[in-house]
Amino acid sequence: MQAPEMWMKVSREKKKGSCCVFSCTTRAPSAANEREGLIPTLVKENKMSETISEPFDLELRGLSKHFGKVVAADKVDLKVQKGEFLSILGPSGCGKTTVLRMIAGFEEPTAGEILIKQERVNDIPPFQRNVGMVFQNYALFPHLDVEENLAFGLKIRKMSKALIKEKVERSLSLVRLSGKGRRRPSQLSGGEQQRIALARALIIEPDLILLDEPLSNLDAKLRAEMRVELKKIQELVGITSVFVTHDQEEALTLSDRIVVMNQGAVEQIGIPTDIYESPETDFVARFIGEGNFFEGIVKKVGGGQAVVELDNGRLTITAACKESVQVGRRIKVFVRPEHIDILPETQMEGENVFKAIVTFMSYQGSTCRYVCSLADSEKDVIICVKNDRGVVPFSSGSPIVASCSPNSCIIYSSA
Amino acid sequence: MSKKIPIKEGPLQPERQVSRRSVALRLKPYRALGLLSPGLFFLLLIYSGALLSLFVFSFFRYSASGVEIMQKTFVLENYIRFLGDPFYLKVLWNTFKIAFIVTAICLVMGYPISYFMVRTRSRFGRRVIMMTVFISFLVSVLVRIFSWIIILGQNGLLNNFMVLIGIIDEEHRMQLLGNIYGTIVGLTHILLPFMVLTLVGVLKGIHPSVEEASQNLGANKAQTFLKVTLPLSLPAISAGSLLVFTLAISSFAVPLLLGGPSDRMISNYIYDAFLQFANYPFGAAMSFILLFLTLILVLIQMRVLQTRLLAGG
Repeated sequence: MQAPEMWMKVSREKKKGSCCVFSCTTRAPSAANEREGLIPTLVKENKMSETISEPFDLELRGLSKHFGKVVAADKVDLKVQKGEFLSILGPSGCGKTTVLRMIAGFEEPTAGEILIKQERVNDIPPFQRNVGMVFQNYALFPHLDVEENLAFGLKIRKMSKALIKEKVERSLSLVRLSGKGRRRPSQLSGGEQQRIALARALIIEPDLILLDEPLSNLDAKLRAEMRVELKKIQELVGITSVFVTHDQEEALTLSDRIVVMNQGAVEQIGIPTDIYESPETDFVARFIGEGNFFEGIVKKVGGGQAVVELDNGRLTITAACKESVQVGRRIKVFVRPEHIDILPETQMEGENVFKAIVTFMSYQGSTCRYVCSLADSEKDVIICVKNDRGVVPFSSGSPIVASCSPNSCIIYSSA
Repeated sequence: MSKKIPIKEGPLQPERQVSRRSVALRLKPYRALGLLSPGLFFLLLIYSGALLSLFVFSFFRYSASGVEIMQKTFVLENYIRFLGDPFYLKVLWNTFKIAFIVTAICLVMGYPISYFMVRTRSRFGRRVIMMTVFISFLVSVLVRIFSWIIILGQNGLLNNFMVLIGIIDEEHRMQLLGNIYGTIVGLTHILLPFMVLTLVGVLKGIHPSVEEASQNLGANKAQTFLKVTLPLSLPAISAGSLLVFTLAISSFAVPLLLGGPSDRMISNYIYDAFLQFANYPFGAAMSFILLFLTLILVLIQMRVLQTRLLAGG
């Protein structure tokens, strides 16, 4: 027999200044189970169907934060769907953590609105927003053991001891740390602490979970492992997640969508492939992955292509472009290293074929990375080529012919 | 934690030991000794020498009439005299009572100051508090005591002000000096900075994100304080309280100048024994009773901290 679970939910109707009051609502067992999120198939199905019909779990409208004269966040607009894993990616100081802290309620926005499940939470203090957060330094309570850390939020919600015990055990097995419940946080490894921090945030069954660079304190190997683990748990629980990171690899592998931020403003929002393959601004292009930039002047536009003359006038590049590009404008052409091919030396016809000399070669196992200097320019080009078995890579000093398709060249207006 | 089985022989052994040594110990021994010796000499030899001779004195017999003040014997009469005399036990009790009250007030007043100093984002605010705390260190204790006499006296600033605004009338001026109040006010003023600085040192170690995590999990500010901040502050509280307490029980000038004849503390009697009556053995015995009691407190505190450390890591 499963009795309807008493569900402790933060009352959102409370006005600012009122003290913390929890209201109880009774949920049907099925709904409770769904919220438990421990049945993967069920949750998976929900996630797929809800992406279209369900309204947004989190919405930011023109969210700004000024610290004195410093603009940490500048009119950020964002919508996060239920079950979505969204990353906010940007260099340090771009305001990504500030945005996260505003969602959690630790910073008050200067302007704009935060909506969690369609309700404005601007005036709700952090302890009444039902939002889980994993801190960069994990922020586990050092004076409590693992079980007490996990039980903290449940005890505050005045759950029965039996229920707390059950939830804590389930939560420990979710992060595969059963049997370590009586340890102190200081007796756990970095990865274990990280998992406990995640479990502690999830155990209160929050509306969404915020992750503030949770993997940045781990060493490289562990980080890669935890990345997989984190994604697994997130998919298993099916919780809406906002993940802040400065690590592009993390963002690309984990996210359903990525928000790239720079100097407080959103540069681009999109799925990982869009962010990597079609960066909308040159900042995004430069920040994500490697790339070659060529500055030049548009000479001719037509047929969806622009012919760009590079600074010294001896080289021209043809790049795909919209018709709106004006002749005579100063622009930047961007190409990814792996979109440049090395052709046999005899093949010199076609668009975007350049002579170059390898100045530096690094063998990277599956690929070779060349730094080449173009024959008619001072410009260096980075080329990344997949290695084939038995094919000897070019050594430095060797002349090569490099080529790229106009479709892989992206144009940005020059500042 | 699993204990490693010591390897008796093996090529790795010497290397491992070297790598485990801390940087400080990598100094060549004779150089380390050279740097340490002035301080160690001062602290250990001179001080413990003085203490040892005082300890020996405490077992001598005092004779006011004899040629020599002290008879070199081994008697316990000085200790027996102190511990058997209700008057001196009252003095001891009074000393501990005052020290306890002062410590409690310092803690209650010092904790919010320290907490604000550690947590505020305003550099200006932090500096103002830091200056206020430090300035009181720069002013001599005597000057501060006389300032309190000016403030608390029968015709002092406080009484005059109270009369002026009509809270008390001319005949009922408050007696704030020459009793326990004067001592407590003076000691609190002198010892508060010690409390604040000790608390600040330890509170800095509590990362704000721990408190944020608590709020994030649904605990309001009061719950966060009681369940997270306060438990984590306990080492700070115990260290600060111990420091203030030990300084308070050995205070001399404040009870002498601000306290009354019936509120004198044990240091005043030690002073009298040595300098008024030249009763070195009795003075020495009182000093050691005070030292012994202080030592017990320190040991208790260390024990408490150690168990916390073992449990909490």
